[in-house]
Amino acid sequence: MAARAIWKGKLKLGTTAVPVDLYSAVVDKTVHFHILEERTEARVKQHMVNPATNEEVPNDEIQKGYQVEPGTFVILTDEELEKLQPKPSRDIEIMRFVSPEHISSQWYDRPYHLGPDGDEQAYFALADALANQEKEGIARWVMRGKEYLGALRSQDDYLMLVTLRHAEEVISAEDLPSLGGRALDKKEISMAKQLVELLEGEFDPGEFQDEYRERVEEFIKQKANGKRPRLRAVQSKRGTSSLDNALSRSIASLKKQKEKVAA
Amino acid sequence: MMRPLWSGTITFGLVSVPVDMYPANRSDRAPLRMLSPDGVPLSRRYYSRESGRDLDDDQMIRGYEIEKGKYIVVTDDELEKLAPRKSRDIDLRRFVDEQAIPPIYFERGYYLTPGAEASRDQTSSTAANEEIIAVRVPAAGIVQTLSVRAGQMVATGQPVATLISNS
Repeated sequence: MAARAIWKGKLKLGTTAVPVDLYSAVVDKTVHFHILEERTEARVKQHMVNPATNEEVPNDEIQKGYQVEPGTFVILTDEELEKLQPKPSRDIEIMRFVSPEHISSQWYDRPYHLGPDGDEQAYFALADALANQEKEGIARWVMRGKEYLGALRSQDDYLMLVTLRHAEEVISAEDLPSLGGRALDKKEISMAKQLVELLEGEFDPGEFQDEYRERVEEFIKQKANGKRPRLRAVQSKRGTSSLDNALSRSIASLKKQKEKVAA
Repeated sequence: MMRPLWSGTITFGLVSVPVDMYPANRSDRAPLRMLSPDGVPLSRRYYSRESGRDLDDDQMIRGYEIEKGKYIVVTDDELEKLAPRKSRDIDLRRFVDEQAIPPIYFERGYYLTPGAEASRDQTSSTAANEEIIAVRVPAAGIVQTLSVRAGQMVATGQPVATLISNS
């Protein structure tokens, strides 16, 4: 399958430039609906109205503004908005390399695959170096009028660029209510560890499907054929009353399962 | 004071741990508002293609386009029944190494804190269909989690859960 590049750029490391193609690494699989008028089952149109008068305001009369306090807006003209845009550039500037464990998953936003664009040797040398040294590059670039910060990493021999969230978008654990409760005793900790070990396995992404989406798609298909599928409710569980007891019973039952498999 | 956006129970083996979920990310962009020439914030309205008149909420329905111009109508009630609603369980399937999950699978992060059992029944479910596939329990006793919804959750150092996409 030939994916189409959505953007072209140059990875800049000091004086070296590695030309790359950028590809989206995730696909939106959400089931999208259209809004229809009930009477005609035709798609609706939309416009902007002044809620006080219910009168339509045509596009060329609409102003754009930032709310600075309730009811007070600073108007920004299209020319002003354009001037605020970052200068277009094809450079993806690598500022430094860090160890991957320095970037917690909380910072990752959107992943992109990078493909070589003319200089395969430099591209694969860089991918190889990142993989071998277990480093990620911190990159900065401008794409489609927006500034991005990203992590450049190696993934299965290829390069990948994951956009990073801005500091204002990341909520600190210090903002959470403080943790209470009693301290765990040694026995509980060691049993929890044992339970984790018993449940250890591989990560196989193919195993996990979006069952909700599948149900919606199947439902639409059946409805298109004039059918009506049955739907069921899901039950919730209660909290465990005794941690100690639940841990030891879990361990016992998992061990039994493993023995059965082995036998 | 932050409020939990969801409360539920992590279950693994026969252990069930009530947890409160808090967002780990927020949007940092204040949206631009559209204003009338005299500075009144505008509202978006839907109107009929046929009559040109504005439509009320109860005059509109949701349709899935199966071919051009042809829609299968799906009601709110039907979608609600299809949703895995009312489940407050985060089903922990398995524990894997942190590095085993490439960042391409990460979607949104959430913090999980020990939940108040009592408040569980009054909290409505907004994030029902998560399945956790990994949790680490460090010495401090804070549960670190990794989950899947076809998506999942991870925690590092702090009780963080991260939704992972399967797309």
